[in-house]
Amino acid sequence: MTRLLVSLRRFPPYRALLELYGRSPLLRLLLVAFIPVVWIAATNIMPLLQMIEISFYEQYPVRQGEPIEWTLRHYAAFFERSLYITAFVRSFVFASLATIVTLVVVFPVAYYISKVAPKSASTRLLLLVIAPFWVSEIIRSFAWIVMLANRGAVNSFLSMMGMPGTPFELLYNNISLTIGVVYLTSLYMLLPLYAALEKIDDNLLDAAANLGAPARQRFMRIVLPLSRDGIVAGCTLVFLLVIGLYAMPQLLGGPNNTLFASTIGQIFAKAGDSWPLGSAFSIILTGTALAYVGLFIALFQRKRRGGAA
Amino acid sequence: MNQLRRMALPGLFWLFVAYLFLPLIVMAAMGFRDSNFVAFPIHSWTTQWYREVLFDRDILASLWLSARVALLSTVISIIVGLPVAFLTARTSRLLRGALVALVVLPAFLPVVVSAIALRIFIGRIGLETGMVAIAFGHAVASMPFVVIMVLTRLNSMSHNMADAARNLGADEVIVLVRIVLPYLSPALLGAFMFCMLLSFEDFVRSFFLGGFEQTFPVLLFSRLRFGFDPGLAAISTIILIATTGFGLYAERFIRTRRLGRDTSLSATGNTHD
Amino acid sequence: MTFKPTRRKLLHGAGAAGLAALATPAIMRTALAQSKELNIWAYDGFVTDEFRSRFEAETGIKTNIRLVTDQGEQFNLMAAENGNYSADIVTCAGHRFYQFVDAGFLAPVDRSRLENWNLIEEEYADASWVSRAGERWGVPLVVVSTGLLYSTEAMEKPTSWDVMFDEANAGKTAYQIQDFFQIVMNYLGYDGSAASYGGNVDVAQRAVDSTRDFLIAHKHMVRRYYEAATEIQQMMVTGDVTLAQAGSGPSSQLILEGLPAGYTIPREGGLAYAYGFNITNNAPNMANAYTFLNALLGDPENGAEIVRSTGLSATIKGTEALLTDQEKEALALEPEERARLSWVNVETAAFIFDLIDTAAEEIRAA
Repeated sequence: MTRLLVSLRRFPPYRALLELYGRSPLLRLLLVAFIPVVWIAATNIMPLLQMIEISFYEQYPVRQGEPIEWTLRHYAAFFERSLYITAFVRSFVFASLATIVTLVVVFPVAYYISKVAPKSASTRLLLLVIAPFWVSEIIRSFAWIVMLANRGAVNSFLSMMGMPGTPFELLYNNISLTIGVVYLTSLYMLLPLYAALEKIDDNLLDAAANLGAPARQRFMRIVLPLSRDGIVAGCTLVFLLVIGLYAMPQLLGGPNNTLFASTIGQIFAKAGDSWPLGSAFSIILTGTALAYVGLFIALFQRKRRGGAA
Repeated sequence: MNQLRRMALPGLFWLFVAYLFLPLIVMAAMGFRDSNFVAFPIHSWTTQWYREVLFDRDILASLWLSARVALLSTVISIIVGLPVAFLTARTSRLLRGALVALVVLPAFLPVVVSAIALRIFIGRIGLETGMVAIAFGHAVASMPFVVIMVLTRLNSMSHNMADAARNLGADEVIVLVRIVLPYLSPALLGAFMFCMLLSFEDFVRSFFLGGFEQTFPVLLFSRLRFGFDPGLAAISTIILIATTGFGLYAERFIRTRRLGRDTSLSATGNTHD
Repeated sequence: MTFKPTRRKLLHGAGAAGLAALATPAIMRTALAQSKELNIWAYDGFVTDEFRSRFEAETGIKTNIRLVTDQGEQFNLMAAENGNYSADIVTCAGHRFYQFVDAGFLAPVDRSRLENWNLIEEEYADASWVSRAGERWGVPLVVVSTGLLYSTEAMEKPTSWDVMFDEANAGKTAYQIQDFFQIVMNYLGYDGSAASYGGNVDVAQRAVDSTRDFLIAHKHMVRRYYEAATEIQQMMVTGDVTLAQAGSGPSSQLILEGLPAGYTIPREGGLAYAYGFNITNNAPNMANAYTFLNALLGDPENGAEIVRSTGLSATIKGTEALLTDQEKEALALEPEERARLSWVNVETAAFIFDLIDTAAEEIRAA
């Protein structure tokens, strides 16, 4: 690899590029920024503007030969009815709680793989927990239905053991919903946590232990602060996955678990002039979720700086 | 406490593994059920479903398409995501918030909206529906995951190593390839997994950006329309076994190669582990 | 992810206007593209492999089939394609095809180009629900009814929808809110089709509101609001519900499997509609589309295969003769049950679905 790079240095265009890069900070910025700026403008901003435009249309598709009518009523529809706001708030509460549950469940797992298990085995252990995620979300949701149903695996096992009172109604409530959500999101917590924990120097922990710091203190004073970046990243990823989930809550949730992403899904599942309304609601959701996560990250970063000072 | 840590952590880990695998083991068993539906109890067993899906041309073709899309979209999103992360890391704190918000936007947009917007977009730029379009759509959606993973790791990277290398005459590319990328490798590995999984699992974007050739999730959803039969359980089990086998093989391959390289070229061995 | 009644403001003549605007390119494109291809969006099981390969061999037309799962999906995709439709034939459900018509996505069917048209059972071929904006749309292929699915282990055949609201069945029922809503309107003595309200929003709104309140008052009895047919099948198979409003297709699949399930149309009535193939507006391979539809109508074998794989009834004459006794038994409804079915009224559907959609959101949120 190094040899390749050394021979690359004799290649004139490469040298020209390098020289250009070194010439001025402005050029350096341009070179680094070119791909990101073009990509973000083309794929993130343009389609968003398109949907914002549609959200102000009276109807879409616009009829042939008819003028475009502009309106704010699709945004107003969100605030007019308390029912949308209820589902909206429920989504944020649920996504936050699900994120916390995922963090609590996954942290010991990530810690075990990165710090306790033998180093040579850690990649294999990671592969083991990644494997189930290759199976489609919809199949994994059905797998939980087959596990928890009245004639499912758990109830069959319990009644075989002679448990009285079977079958228990395990499905279509908050617990089955949480089990399913954590099942889908845990990997997105695990990998950032693993990446953060893995780089904590073992010597640091050993030194603390030799100096007589109890395990709890070592965890609170060393492990937790040093894995903060991983926690923030994992929570961000999981939160944004949960806020957008709609198929799984539909399959494992009960009649009282409607989330806002499902509401948006419902709007688009209807054929007809649903795009403006659906776009308006999506923009409300996206904007709020971004602000919410931004606030969360800002809080953590201030804490970190405070802690370091 | 030490005792507890020694016992509790492996216990929690294996409990988690059981939580991940039990439902799938039940599904694997359902694939042998001699019926058109999946449920307990299993009265009679058959290997017919497994045989059927293994020779189903549509399923195999869709899996092949999904694999190609996943790989292509992963390559695109990492190639684009890395410079995005570098740029974000270099912007001032004030601007960074806004930039990060813009970067992660596609991941926050409800998937239907994002898919429709992308469909209109590829129509505008004249990109045909099909494999490339789907891969492009998936790359857009998974790029934020790459950026978040890389940024997290980049935050904690000390500049000393890179500066030292520069002082010794290394140019930017050597610094990138020999120091930055190896340091980022756990994050990149995670990003790679996320991109592959997100792409392999995506239904809505694949539907809108695809043509008459269908990815696996799209085929799965259309089959699901008229009943969840044991064949779907069987094909999931086969995918699970195939990907696990491939992962283990790849891990072994890399481990033995690295071992060989480290012993012969230990002086220039990997900088990060 | 499946059938939900839907909304669309009535836009009279919009389809025709759109057609006129596009007429010129349509002629040019058909003249230019005498291709040997045909692009179809269909549900899984609607075009059998056997029929497909025979059709390709006989006509030399290559068929590309894209499997779809519901109406909203097809609508959104066509809207995004913005006039350059990639399909020549799409599959529309009878109770919502008017939305495709109103959006200008479809071309009316020219029956003179279908010599096998007379092979469709008369009651479907000339039904009122295939017309919209003064034109006839689509070729009806299979017929669906919505009735009561029940566990034969838990109860005798119910005669009334009462059982869905009987406290004895609390926690054992499931339904699709929007589909069930019209049935409950009829059950409570209102007009679910809204045909008799003559567009009077106030009267219709009162009927919808009181039906909504009735369903909310009984919400505690519902185990689950479901969306897709697969979900209700799974809930019946695993014993999580014993009673549900359900389509005839998923129900007859359960019965054919020998599971303890029954399907009936209770005395307060049920709904019916058809699935049909529609030709898209400005379809690139219009001539091939007609060839295909004509061949389809002349093939009861394919009809029987659709029945077997989807559990739906076919509209083509001679299909029934090809079914086994057991299959007929599972699919057949008693004559008096058939008489209780009301067909979706296409002209008033948009009006009433608009009100029902909002009520459904309110029920979910309650």
